[in-house]
Amino acid sequence: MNRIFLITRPKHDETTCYLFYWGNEVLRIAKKKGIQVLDLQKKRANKKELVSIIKKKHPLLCFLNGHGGPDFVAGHSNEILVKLGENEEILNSKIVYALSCQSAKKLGIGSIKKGTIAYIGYDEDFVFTFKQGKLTRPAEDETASLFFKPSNQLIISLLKGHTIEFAYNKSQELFMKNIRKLLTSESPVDSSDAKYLWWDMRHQVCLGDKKATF
Amino acid sequence: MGKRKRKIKREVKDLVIARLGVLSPNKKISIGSSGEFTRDELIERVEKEDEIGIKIVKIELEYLRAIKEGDFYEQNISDYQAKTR
Repeated sequence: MNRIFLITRPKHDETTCYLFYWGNEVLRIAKKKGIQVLDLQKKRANKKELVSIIKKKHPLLCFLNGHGGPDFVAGHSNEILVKLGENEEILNSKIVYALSCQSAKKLGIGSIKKGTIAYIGYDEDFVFTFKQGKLTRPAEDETASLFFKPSNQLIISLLKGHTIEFAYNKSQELFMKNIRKLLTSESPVDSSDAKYLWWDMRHQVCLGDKKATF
Repeated sequence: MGKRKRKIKREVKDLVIARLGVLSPNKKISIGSSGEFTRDELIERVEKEDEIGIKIVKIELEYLRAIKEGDFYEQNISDYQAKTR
């Protein structure tokens, strides 16, 4: 069985810097489980390398990090990696999680029509808050962790062999758990983050075969 | 040239700005490809009613609606998702 995991993680601005570092948690788990990892990081998160490595290695699970829009996902320096009507067929026979704004809206739906097994992503902007001054250590940013833990939970569940439906529900549950924690905590945490968590949770969508596994 | 028509009601705008006012000034908010913003920058965007400002209002209103409807106390997330999608 093909247990190859591909991750794209550009790092060229504050947002992608956070995505990049939080991707490390996922990579550690994938490696621990002996899964072959294809890590297209920083400048390697470009279209040419992505297309080439997909053709050569046929990864089953793809975790796309970066900026995006309704019909595309971008990589390093916002180069478009996958675009609806251009090359969405490269996601054929794959399970995709796109931590990328709005791409589930059109690209997700379009790629499913072209044979993607499942596409999990966001049909609106993925919003998160972070502490200024934590840019060199994003993984230590407790504010950002409220957002990235539920997001990473999804891919971690998939790496552990759970179904897409299970992974999606676990991620949703963790978003909700964090919202409730913020709303009920007596510690001086900033409950204003709850609205952004709610937004992300509401706009995280799961398309395709929900019973599939990696 | 005519005066630009307001898209957001004044009372809604005031509410959103007041709620943004409690955000920590030491935090930034990443809004996808639009970039990263401080509290004061977001307040300015809401005042201007530009694309970011309108998005911030939408986020706030979705959240307030959820509070009103008691969505945070749903027992089962999948039930909730099934109900709303």
